[in-house]
Amino acid sequence: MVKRLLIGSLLLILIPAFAAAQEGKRDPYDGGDKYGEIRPYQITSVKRIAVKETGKWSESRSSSDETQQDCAAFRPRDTDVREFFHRARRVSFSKYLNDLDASRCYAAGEIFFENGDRGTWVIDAGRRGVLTLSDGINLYFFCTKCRAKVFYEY
Amino acid sequence: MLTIDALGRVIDPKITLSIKPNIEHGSMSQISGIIIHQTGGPTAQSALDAYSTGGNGAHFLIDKDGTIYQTASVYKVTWHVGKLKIRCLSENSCSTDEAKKLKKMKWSELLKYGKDEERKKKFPERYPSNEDSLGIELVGEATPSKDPNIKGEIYETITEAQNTSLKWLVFELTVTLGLPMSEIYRHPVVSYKNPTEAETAKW
Repeated sequence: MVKRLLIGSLLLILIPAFAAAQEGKRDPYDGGDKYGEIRPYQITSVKRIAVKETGKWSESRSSSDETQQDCAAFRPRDTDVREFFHRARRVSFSKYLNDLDASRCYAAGEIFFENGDRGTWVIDAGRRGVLTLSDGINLYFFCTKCRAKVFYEY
Repeated sequence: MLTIDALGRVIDPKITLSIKPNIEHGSMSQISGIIIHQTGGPTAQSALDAYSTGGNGAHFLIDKDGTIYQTASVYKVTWHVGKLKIRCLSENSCSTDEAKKLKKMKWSELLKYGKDEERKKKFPERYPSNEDSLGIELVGEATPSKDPNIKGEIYETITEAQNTSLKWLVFELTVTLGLPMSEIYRHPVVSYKNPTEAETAKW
């Protein structure tokens, strides 16, 4: 199955579904043998983004000292999330995990595609993001060009 | 005591040389400490592949069966640490003036301060950085947590064989290079990382 994702006028992501993920096997791009590579993708279009949780704090996400009070300010609007996925670049799971700074402050929500499919997303104040598609595939992002003030300065 | 040749390669039957020039970034004149990492991938080969194509990596890699690979010269800088935490803040050792200044800052301002000012400090006022530390990677997967409240990844437990090799390597490196055991850190201690990385590593 190939999904297509288009955010605004942006042709963003393409995703050849990884059949093995549905069969319970280890996804090679998601902590598997290809964790250092960016998953190949294909373009598709987005219908809507829903912001479900903002200002969230989780100490299991980062060894930082961000407090719940610090994280309360991380309240991206749906336009900010759109911009995030518009401007962010794809990164490998390895880069997401090892090279980028992790933040305890995150927001989460859903993404709806024109083809009727949907997924969930999580972005953090440190400009990292994960998009999880309905078949379990994770895509990793990092946005140095996002302008929303909710993100930490890059 | 390890034998290290002029190129910074450790000559020892317990260490397999697999130097990846891609991850070496200039000379390292001082070694102040060692940072312990976990790869996030399932095999040594996946890490070695990533080292061959990317610019980031550490000096040593320990496989799940305890096999130790040297992947960069101990006299070369590798990019394995990233942005440093503010050491005096973590260790409650800031000068009165700095503590007063930092106390007034929001987290976003502290991050910026750390990025701009921390790297200017001399060791040991700051943690060992890319420029003056060795990195040891332990092969180990990170998988998304099944707890919906966590929304993050969890690293797997380090194997006994890995911890045995890690203990030996850290001991030999500290003796050979004259490093204090107090300057060996898990990556999340010195940088803003997943707190479960190398959590079960012992040395």
